[in-house]
Amino acid sequence: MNLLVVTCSHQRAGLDVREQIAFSGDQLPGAYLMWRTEHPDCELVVLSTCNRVELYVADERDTDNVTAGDVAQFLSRFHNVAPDVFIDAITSLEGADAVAHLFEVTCSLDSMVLGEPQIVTQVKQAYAMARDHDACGPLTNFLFQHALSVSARVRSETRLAEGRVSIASVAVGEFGRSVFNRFDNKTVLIIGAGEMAQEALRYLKDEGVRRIVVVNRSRDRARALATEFDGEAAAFEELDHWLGQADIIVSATGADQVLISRDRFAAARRRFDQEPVLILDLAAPRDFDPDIESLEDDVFLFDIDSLEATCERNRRMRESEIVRAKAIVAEQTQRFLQDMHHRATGPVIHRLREHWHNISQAELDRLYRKLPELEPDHRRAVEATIQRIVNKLLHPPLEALKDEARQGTPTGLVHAIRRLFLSQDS
Amino acid sequence: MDRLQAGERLGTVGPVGKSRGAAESLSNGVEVLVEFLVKVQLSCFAFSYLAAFVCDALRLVRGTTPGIRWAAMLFTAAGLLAQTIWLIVRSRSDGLPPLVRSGQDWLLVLAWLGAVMCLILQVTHRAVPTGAFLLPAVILLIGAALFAREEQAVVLDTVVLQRWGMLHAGTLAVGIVCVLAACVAALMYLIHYRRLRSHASGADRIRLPSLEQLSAINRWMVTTSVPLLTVGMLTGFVLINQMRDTRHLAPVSWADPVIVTTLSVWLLMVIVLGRMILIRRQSGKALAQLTLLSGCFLVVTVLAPMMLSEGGAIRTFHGPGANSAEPQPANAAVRPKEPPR
Repeated sequence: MNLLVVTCSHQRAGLDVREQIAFSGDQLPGAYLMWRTEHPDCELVVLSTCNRVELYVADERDTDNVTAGDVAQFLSRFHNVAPDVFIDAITSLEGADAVAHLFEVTCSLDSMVLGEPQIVTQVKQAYAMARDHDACGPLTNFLFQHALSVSARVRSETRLAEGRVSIASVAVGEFGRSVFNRFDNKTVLIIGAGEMAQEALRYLKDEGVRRIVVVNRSRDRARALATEFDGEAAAFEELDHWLGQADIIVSATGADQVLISRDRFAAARRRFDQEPVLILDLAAPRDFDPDIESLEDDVFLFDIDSLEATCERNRRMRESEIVRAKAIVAEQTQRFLQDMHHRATGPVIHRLREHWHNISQAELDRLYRKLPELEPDHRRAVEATIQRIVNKLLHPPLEALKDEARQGTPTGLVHAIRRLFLSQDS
Repeated sequence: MDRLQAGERLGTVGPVGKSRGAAESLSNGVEVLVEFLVKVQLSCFAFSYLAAFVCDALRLVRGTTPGIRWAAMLFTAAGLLAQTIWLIVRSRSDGLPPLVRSGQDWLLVLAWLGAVMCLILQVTHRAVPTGAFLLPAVILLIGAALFAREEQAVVLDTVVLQRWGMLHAGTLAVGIVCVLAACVAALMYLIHYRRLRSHASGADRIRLPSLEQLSAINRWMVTTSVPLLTVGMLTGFVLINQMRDTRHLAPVSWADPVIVTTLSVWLLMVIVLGRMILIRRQSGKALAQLTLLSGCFLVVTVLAPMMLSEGGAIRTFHGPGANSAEPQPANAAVRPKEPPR
């Protein structure tokens, strides 16, 4: 029984290498078909995300196992890329290390953004894809189901996945949700059309925002961003009008001085009923005068410093959970290996019991033929005695096998038992 | 020690011991059993709520873990179960619903409603340590109930009077619970508001509902409480009139402490509601502050007369012996008369 993982992740390889051996959703069926043709006895799960390409290989045979070199050759042939291109960027892990690696990946301990939740979905999808293409088997099924339960345990027992760690997600997910309960009835004003505005809009859209107005000095860029998110573009001259109407204002311009002064904002808001307004000033230098917050009770202004402080606090909180998460992974890896070894001894134990009971039954039949006058009560007594003898003889080897399975791979003992007791049918 | 004291207090002035008329109708064994249940269960639910409050308060300080969240929920549920049994036992012992039985029972029904609300919120809003905000009010009401009158304060000896009494006590109880709920929402609002104004989301420690949601709860609770308090107060006047007609009581003074305080609370809530409706530019913070002020006022004005009248410090229509035209046997006080055929 062997487990192997060949991995090419963001930690050792740049995107230029990773993208050459990555598997798109369309390529995976072909890859699994090719693998099954080349290695019909080996199980395979491919995990291919933007940060990693990993191939998990499991083999129940004790000899002629697939090696990391075989996997590299497979990658090379499938992608038509010379092995030299990626060979220095890949690593391989076996046995317990491979198990621990998958658990760490699934728990997002190996992710670029520690604790990010998408990886669990990606692992689930990779496992489902492998099952759909008949590339999974008992070992990979057991391994991946275990990995998903370890991930659930880490998320429930630690705070590794808590808190957001990017500026835009903190702005919308933490501060936005702290002020507003629902977003579908809110008007969002975006000032600027850069990357930060785009990212914030993505999070706002996820929260259910419907009415989006983009204001930018360049009307074309405003229109492009508005079109991407089903919003409307407004002229820069209409800014004051929309400042008064908006419930959420996201500002991320490249202006080198304050764009909205206290007086300008007060004048813009005066024309409309006072409703809570959330201002996310994602620009550096700031677009909004910080004094704006003192205008009204229901104005909430967060600038990049306060958002960054929250991100940093969340990052520290996640980092402080690494030790606990790794302890859970180590414990679960040990448990998984014990369970796996125990499963491996199962067939041998079953066959040994069956074999010895068959022998005893054959001997009993012979005895009954010689002594047909035996009363049913006597027969039952003889059968019980034979049963006890067989059980007592079986006890030491089976206990030794179980002990060995608890310690690690009981391969040697399994071989010995097969040779000693099951030689004629192995 | 506290548990013993609570038990001892109930033991000395417990309903079964005091309502001798009702106790005579019970066999001795049942009487002992009921007395035992009453003693144990009051301390049971009081301490259960206290334990739940400690768990949820710990969540505020140390953050949430699944264990502590479940513990808070289970303690609240256990307390609620014990309190429900307690109220049923008391009610069955003399055949009167808890709402009109005595001042003590009325306060305990208020506490029970608060605990029900708390448990529902603990189940539906698991991330929020609701118990840390709601359970102090529940515990305060139970504490006040220990000092309140245990005998039937106002003798409702006809079916008609009893119905008016139920409507009066019921609407006031639900109205006051609405005010308390509005206060809890207002308190949460102000804490969350302060956190956001200091540019901390607070999500690392404890998650509170959004300001928009808290403000909406506050507004709904205030809006609901005003008509309920109004009905409660009007039915109170109807009740006084009916009792005066049937029992020829002296007119009740408008300066009666209970009437003055109830009117004050009602007026304050009408002002809050009026401001909410008429002043469109009122911020959530201002509304929360006003609601919290009303809540504090309500706690003082509702609880103080109940406790003070029991000790004889003030004389009120709801106080001991103030509303009886002539002494009546205890069983006549608790059993409604048969309506005329």
